[in-house]
Amino acid sequence: MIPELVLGMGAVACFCLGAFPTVRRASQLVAWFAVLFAGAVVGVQTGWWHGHAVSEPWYAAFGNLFRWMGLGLGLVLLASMRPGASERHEAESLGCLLSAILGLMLVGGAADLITLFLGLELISVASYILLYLDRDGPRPEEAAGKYFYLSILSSAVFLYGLSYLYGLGGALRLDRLTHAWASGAGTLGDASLGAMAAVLVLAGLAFKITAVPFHFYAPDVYQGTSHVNASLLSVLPKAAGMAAIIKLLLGIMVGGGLPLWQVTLAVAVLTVTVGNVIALWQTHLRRLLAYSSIAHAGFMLIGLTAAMTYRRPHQHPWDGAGALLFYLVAYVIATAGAFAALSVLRRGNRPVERLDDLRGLARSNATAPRFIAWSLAAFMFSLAGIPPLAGFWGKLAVFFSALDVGASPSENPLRSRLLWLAVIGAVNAAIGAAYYLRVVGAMFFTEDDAQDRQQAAVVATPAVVAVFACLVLTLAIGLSPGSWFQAAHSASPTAVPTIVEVSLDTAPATH
Amino acid sequence: MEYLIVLIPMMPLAAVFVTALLGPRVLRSNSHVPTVTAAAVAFVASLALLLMVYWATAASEKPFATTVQLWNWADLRQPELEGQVAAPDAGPLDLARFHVPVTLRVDPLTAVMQVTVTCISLLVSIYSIGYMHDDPGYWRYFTYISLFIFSMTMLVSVSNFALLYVFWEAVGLCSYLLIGFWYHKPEAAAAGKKAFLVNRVGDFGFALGLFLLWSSYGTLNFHDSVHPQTGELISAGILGGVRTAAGGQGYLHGGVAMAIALLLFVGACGKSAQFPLHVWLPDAMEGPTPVSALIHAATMVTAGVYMVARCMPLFDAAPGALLVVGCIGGFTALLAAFIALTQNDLKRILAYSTISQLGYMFLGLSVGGLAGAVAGMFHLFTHAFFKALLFLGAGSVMHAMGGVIDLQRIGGLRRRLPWTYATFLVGCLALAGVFPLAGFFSKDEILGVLYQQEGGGVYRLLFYAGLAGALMTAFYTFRAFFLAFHGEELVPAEAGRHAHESPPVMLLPLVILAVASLVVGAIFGPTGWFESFLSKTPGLAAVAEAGSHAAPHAGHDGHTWVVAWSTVAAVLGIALAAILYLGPGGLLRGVATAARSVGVYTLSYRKVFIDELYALAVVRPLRGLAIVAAWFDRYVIDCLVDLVGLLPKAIGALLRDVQTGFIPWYASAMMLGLLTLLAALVLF
Repeated sequence: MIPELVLGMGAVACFCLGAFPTVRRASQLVAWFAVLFAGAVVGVQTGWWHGHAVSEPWYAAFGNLFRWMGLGLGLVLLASMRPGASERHEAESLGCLLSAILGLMLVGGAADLITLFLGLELISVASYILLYLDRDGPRPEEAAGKYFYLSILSSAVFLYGLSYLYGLGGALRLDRLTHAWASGAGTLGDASLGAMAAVLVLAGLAFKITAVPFHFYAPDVYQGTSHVNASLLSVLPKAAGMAAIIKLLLGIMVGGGLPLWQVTLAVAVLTVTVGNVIALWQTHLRRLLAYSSIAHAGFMLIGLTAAMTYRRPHQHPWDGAGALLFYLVAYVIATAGAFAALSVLRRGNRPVERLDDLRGLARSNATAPRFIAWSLAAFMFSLAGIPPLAGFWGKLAVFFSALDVGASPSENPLRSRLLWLAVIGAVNAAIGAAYYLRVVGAMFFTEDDAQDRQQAAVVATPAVVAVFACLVLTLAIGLSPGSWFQAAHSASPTAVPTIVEVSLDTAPATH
Repeated sequence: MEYLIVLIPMMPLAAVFVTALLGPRVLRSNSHVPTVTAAAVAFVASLALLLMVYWATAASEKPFATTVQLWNWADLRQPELEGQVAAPDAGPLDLARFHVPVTLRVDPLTAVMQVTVTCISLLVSIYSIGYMHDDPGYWRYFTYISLFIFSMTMLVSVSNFALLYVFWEAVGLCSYLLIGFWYHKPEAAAAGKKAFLVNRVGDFGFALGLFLLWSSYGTLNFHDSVHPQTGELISAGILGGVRTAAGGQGYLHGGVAMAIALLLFVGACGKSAQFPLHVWLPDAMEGPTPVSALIHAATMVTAGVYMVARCMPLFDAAPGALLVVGCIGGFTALLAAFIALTQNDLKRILAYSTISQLGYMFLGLSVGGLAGAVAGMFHLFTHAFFKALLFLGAGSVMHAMGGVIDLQRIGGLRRRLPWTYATFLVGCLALAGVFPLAGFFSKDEILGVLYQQEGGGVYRLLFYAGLAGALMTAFYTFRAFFLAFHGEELVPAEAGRHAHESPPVMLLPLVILAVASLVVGAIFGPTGWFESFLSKTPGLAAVAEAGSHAAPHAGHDGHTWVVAWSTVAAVLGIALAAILYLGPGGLLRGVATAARSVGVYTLSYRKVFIDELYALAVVRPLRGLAIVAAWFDRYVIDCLVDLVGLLPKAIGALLRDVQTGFIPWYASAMMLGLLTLLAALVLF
């Protein structure tokens, strides 16, 4: 619990410092210290690595995975926050950022419904404020307003779902709920109450992960705000939403005898297709990345769908939930890196926003823009799933998890559907490559022909270091995915053959 | 020992980065420093490694090999699958067991290759300091050279077929980059392209061979992998102790074995320039001469020989494939020697000579078993020294003559270039196979094993082919030598006032290589040291034990004959060249006219018309096909692709309109989605 407390105190300290104009510059220091200290504590607690003992239950590794992810993202986002852009509200922005990270870590480690919900809301509330405080984006009010209203709506739906869950299971603790659903609470009376709970929870979380048709806000909001906020919105809520989906849908409800996988399959197909085909039309970089993030949610849902179909204790060499988690890690690193790379670019005093602004970046005379161009290309290739990079292994794992079910020698009627799901995923991966390559093409194969525009330049900020770190990670995971796969595997609830038989006496999965 | 194994390739890799980063701005004309330092350290390290391996093997009768695993690449194995034996042909999902351990190994075979590669690399990079100075691409040159040394040392020390393929391609890339180093010359660019394309053919076969290996053996490792804790066997490597200890039982036989061996040999043919894929090597001489010495004579082109020697158990399982190796090798040796007889470009003569000598190595390998591997590898080892020496000597001539290498335009250079003259003579004698120089012993070894092979008349035929080749080798070598260094002094105008001996930094490698060419054969050949050392290589030890082939030197009956015959061939060739090119001119003209009148001369001069044949049979039809295909692609396929590509875009255009920007519409869409999901779940 100590890392969470440290972050919480850091956030409070930042908010307090904001009230005193003379010392508010110190909030930078406080924020960095809080994240680094929390990281050190997590490191000491987990032996610097999610090096799990075999006996360790999945949710412990799961919590640690999201702690590391939150802290890593915290460092990248802290580095990308441009000092001076919103100087008046710097302290408040940093406080919100720390709260959002705290939210992700709480969701990852939550052992009961209340903590889970509070963690999610912590991210949402912090995002509202960040969106509103941001003066760098072109249309901050519109972005903040849209996100606020639609997010509240989705939170209400989610909470409504939680109330059904509580009502049917009679408990708030996740392990008790698991037990209750395993013993038939989900199909109490007629099955419609369980279905209600599942669909409401899924719909509420679908907003966070930008699944179709709950995705509409993303392109408008990303476009209206700054690169840093778009980065935050495309990684933190998505990671938290995925964590909650795994915990609630996969950890609890899948044992309840509902054909949930059909629902997630439909959502996955819709999401991945809509995200990719609309992205083909985009010329605004943040809008493009928004549709890209929608499409990636769809890819992750393919892994989820595969995991949903595991009925009886059965070992799957390509575990769906593990594949999802690996994909999430690869996606988060590449997306945060891409936004960080965009945030350091400037044309004159204007941020780089459109595809045309990237023209000829790789042919620049200075070294720094060329480095950014190469890094951005690496992130795009990773997102597109080109072999030696992290994203490739993510796509491979997700598709194989679907194929694995599809090819299993069982009498199940779902086999052919899962095969089709993998095929649709693969087709979409090809479509997706088209728009990522357009970004690369703009940087590498076109001349900067506009005379009226100023040369692209790099503002030296810590974000360049963050870009480098993301680049190294993308390459490292791509070259040696094994240990990362095993980490994702150990954090996956379906990797353990006995997902339905979690004992009541298990210690609560708290921090 | 583990540190040394890793250190050898890592030094040149570090040099690549240092030179590439600092070369253009900081190092400039000192760009050779990282490369030379790295090569020197790598050479010393590989000498030390060789000694350590020697001590380790001398102590025991058992074969010796050590591996160092750096990391597991592409390792997707789930924990519960780890430690299970991979089942062959378990289908695509068996990828869950696939992994490529980045493992370096050392055994006698690797140790010998490492020493050869690093030694030649060091000398050539020292030589290049003088040869390449003032070149605008100085740092680029040394970056490529370092990259090559790294790739080549990795190629001979990896312990996995997938990685072997990776570095096989990497040395090919370096070769391509260095052939086209002066890319502004159209011939150089075209030669680079040709080398690349011809090698693709070979590599395609190699890749198919790897697929077949994976699907029939379920692993691509050379070595056996054992569980780190319990020590129990996880998978038996293709060339590991488990399989080789089982002798012939460890390997598949029949058609699959034949296919694997032949496909691997196709790869070797591409890289080692064997007929019919030899056409790229003569053109590769467009690159800087030190590159020709290092890559296209001493090291990279011998990768195919190394690979076949390494995979000898696989080839031993398919005697038919060995026969194919022998026939191709023998034919190539004769063909290339025949072409070399009449060429006028000194470097081209040496290039055809390299092809011919590589053919000899494959001739030796074709005997199979330990004897074949030793014969091939020994010739590889000695050839590296004297062929590098000859190329560097030719480079020294070029350096003095302002880049002219045409034997019709130079001549009588022995007074102007005394050091080059002396060292070149040593190289020529070694290549011709004159006692007691290096080439004599290794060529004799090959002819000896061919003579003793019981496999039937074919091997005896190959023996005579080898003898004929030796005669031609001696002739063309000394023809070139006499034309360049004897007779009337002839200096082209391009030389200007620079027609003098090369600087010491270029002469030093020449002298060292000359001394090596004098002694390495006598030291390692007759003493049997090379053979007893190589026999401790795990894969080769096994084929020696299998005993399906004649034991090497079991009886030396007929060996004296072989020695006598090969010496006669060499002396006869040299004498012929001396008579024709040093004697009265009338004789030469007479012979030339006679040869011309029956068409032999033209046949040889025009390289047996193989390039023209390829142009007629492959290039022109392909080009015609390409024109048709381009038209088809442009007007038919493109339209179809555009249509298919438009489909997602069209769907996107439709869906895009849904994105109106109005919050109420978004909210109602969300609610509508929610209700649909709910209805779907409750109703179905």
